[in-house]
Amino acid sequence: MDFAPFMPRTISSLLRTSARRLLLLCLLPLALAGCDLFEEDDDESVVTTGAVVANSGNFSDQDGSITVFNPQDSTATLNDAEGIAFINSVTLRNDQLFVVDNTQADNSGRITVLDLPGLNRVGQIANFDGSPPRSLAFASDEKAYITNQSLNSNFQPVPSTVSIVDLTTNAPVDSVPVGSGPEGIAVAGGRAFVANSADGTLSVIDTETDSVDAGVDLGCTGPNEVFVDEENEVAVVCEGGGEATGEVVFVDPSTLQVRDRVALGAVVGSANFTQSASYSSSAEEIYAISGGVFGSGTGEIFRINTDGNVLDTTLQVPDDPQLTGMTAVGYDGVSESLYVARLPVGPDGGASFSSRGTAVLLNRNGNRVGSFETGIAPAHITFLRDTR
Amino acid sequence: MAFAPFPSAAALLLGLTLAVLPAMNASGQTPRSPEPDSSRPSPADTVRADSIGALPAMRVDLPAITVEAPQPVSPAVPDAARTTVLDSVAIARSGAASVDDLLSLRSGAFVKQYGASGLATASLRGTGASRTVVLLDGLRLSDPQSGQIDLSLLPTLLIESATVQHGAGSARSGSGSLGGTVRLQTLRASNRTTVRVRGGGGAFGERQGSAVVSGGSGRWSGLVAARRYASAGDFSYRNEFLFPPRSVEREGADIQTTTVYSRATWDGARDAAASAGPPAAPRWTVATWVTRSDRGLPGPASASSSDARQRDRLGRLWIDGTVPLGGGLLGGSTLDLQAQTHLSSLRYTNAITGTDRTSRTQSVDVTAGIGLPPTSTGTLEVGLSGGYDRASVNDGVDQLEAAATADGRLRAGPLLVEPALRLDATWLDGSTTLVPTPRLGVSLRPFEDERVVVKALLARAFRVPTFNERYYEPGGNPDLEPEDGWSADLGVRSRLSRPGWTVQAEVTGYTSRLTDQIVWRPSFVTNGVQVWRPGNVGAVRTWGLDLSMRGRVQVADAVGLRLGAVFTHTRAENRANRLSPAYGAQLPYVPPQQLKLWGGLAWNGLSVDLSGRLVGPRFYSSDESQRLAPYQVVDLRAGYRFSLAGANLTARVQVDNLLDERYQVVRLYPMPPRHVSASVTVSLTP
Repeated sequence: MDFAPFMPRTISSLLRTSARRLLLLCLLPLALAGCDLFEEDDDESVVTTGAVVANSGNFSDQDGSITVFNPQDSTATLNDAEGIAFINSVTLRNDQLFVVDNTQADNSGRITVLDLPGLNRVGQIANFDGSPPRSLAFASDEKAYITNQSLNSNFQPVPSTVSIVDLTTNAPVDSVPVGSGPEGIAVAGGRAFVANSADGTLSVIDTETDSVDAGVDLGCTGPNEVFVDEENEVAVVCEGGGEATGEVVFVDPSTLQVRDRVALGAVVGSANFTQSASYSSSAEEIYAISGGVFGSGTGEIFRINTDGNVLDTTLQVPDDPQLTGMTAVGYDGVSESLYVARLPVGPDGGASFSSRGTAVLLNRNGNRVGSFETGIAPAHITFLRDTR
Repeated sequence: MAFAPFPSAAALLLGLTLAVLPAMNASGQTPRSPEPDSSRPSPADTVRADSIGALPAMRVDLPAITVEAPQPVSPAVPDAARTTVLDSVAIARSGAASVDDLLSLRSGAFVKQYGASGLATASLRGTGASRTVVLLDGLRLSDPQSGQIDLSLLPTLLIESATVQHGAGSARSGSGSLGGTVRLQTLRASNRTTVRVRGGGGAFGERQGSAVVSGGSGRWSGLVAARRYASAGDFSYRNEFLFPPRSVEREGADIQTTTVYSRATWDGARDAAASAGPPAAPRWTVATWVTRSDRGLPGPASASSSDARQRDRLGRLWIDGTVPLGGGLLGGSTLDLQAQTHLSSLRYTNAITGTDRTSRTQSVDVTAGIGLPPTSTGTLEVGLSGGYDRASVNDGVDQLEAAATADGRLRAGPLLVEPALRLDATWLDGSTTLVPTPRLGVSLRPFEDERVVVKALLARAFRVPTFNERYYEPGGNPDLEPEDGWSADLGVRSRLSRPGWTVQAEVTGYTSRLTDQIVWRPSFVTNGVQVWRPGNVGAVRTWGLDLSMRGRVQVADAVGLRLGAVFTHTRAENRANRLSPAYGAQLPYVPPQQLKLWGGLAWNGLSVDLSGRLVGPRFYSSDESQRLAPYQVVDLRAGYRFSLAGANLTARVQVDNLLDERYQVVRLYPMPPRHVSASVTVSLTP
């Protein structure tokens, strides 16, 4: 995993405790002398071999695709990903990419498993709940959870479910009722945490019994993305909406008590209703975007330090007259590059959901350092890494 | 052009032609036409039968007489317009069961079909379905809520002719005729009693039955027709979205449709046979059309089949009258009156989402037109019309329309000038919208006949926003303005006729511009909430070429060969926003090229017809990055007509998609593979 580039900021955190100060003093001479603690780690480093941009495609055309950007030579390759419909999200695990496919509003959708780096289909999970899947998380190598979002006839969220998938057979085996509008899901300490965006709550599933054993009132509007940070806290990104602005709520996974709240000052959201925030474990940072179009987003990118649970920086996405909105965000801690997916300006002056988008690369100061073309409606960014 | 698969379709037709050409009559004898030609009126006998009967017994071998004349079109269509006329023979020979199939096979329209049993709409010259007007007996058929009509609900059995006018036609057709106008003429009744019953079936659970009864007495004539069609639609297709990809049956694509049509005519001229000419006495017709349809909506192939269903109900009552006017200034002129009321409902149900929603619309139209007495310099028609529309959207909305039209035809030697002006007024929510639509057509005939006709047409067109665009919840925009368009045509038409063959060809180049196009786009409501909302933000520039050819060769005394072709090249570019990747790109679902070929042989009672259509790639993304592959489809149809026990019987076998092309007109909506259907028709004329 990536680590070295963040030494300056982690130093400030480490100095909080005396024990840490002592440890630092012990390690500092080693670092200055360039010594290796373990000889077998010679020349081994983590590199980012690719940035994966999953493109939703246009919903009515169901033409999702995947773009892989090679940061070594700055080339982007578009894979039409035959058989992929409309991508809501993707999750990496064991050199496989699990694509969460939303096929129709009244459909269960499916999860398609692609190998890496070839992106060939190697499996498919036919979801069975009758509602479109949104996100996926792994409880173990044998079990995964899928959030399903049920809507009523007026397309309003209603109480929904989480599917339980047996990964040995790639088949859903059961489902658990959760709140309305379930979005992100993450697993920590034998529990799966589901953000119910329409309820402002967190459903907690016991991964042993596969039953909802608790709920947490987050006291925020539009909880969406859920991460487990390096401190083993559950960080929930609430998007806001209406009069409410976005915030990040930190929850203790054991006591289910809210530990911290970080106000962001603006509504958070993806212009594509997809990846509005992402977490970099190496940097211990959450990046959240205010990416909605037609004024529903401010164009701000929020960097939240999950070590100190503070808003570190607010960046502004660089202006580009040919681009609008933001649909996905990902931070590559290895190269310290921030990837922001954007939609092209449509013929009507708004956002186009039927033209290829652009991923913009920013440095830590928010300055544009590169870009590449994506597929239609980029929706989710994740990174492929290797140890060399 | 990505027309790689074309040769196989063309080769079939070419082979058919070459197989017959050696058998052509080389003697120069004028052959007799075995049956009417769709490209011209039926041959007429100019010798009165009663005078022959009065002659003493003798034998005289007279050569057959064939009357050649241009295909008559509706007086509402200017001569300078690009027009395709499909008469009853052409409709029958096409094998098309519904109007969408007919237009797809025989006209330059692009028909967008959501699968075999789904919504089917036609668009001309790169415009959308709501920008092509469909008229039934001269009265609008499009739904005021959606602005379009599902052409799959209109069986050709009840259609006597179809006229497709390409290009702006609002000067006569009013709102919506930006790409063109499709005029459908229903079956007419005659005094001769006829009964025609047809039954048949085919693959994928297809069953159909129909009956037409016509007759009359004295000044009255009437017609009743009914048709029932059902199909399971469960054909097999390869689903690439499944892993591993495999062939599966289409589920939830069944359809059942029933249509009943009736018509009664009172002709004051008594002699119904003379009613085709200028009326000497009033003539009134009242007609009804009722359609009930129930079909599954299987959804896109990317998803598992849903339980969604759609139930359509269409009801239409209309009256048509022609009254000769007496003396005075209007002496010799006729007054044409029409009135209709149209009711429709569409019920959508989806058990999974718990949706059960019904939308209803109602329209009333009244038109009155006077054809002033022709003078040496030309003719003038003036008219007034009024309309009322109501829809259940947003708890009920309505609007009033009125229009005044003047349409002239002025002749000056070889020149025919056709100026027209229409003024439309729409009242909605206390506001009035006025739109003038002028038109100027010019035709030049350098020769006495139709050998060469050079034509030019300049016209304006518009489209009033639909109820959905104005009031749909959520997102409707009551402040929308009408779309505005202009189009210009320049073309040459040629018709050559010699003993034994006839050929007619036409080439038209055109350009058009559409501004204030209504486009649905996401808009901001409040933080985190976006709603799709229409706005007058689009602009389109279109140019293209329409080519067509029809020919008929009398190969031998009893063998006739007919061939036809339509080619369209359409470049419809988005011109709304230079910053967008869509700027300068072809509009989605506008095929750059279409080629339609057909040919048929008739020998005594046997007929064989072959139809092929090749449709170029259709972009489905707005930046031309994604497209559907071109497709070619060939249909083969064979029929044999014979008499049995005083009845005429026709047995037909039809193979659709002969080459078993796996194709989609609209992405994710597979069309049926090769399949066979058969039918038997019994006609009685007591």
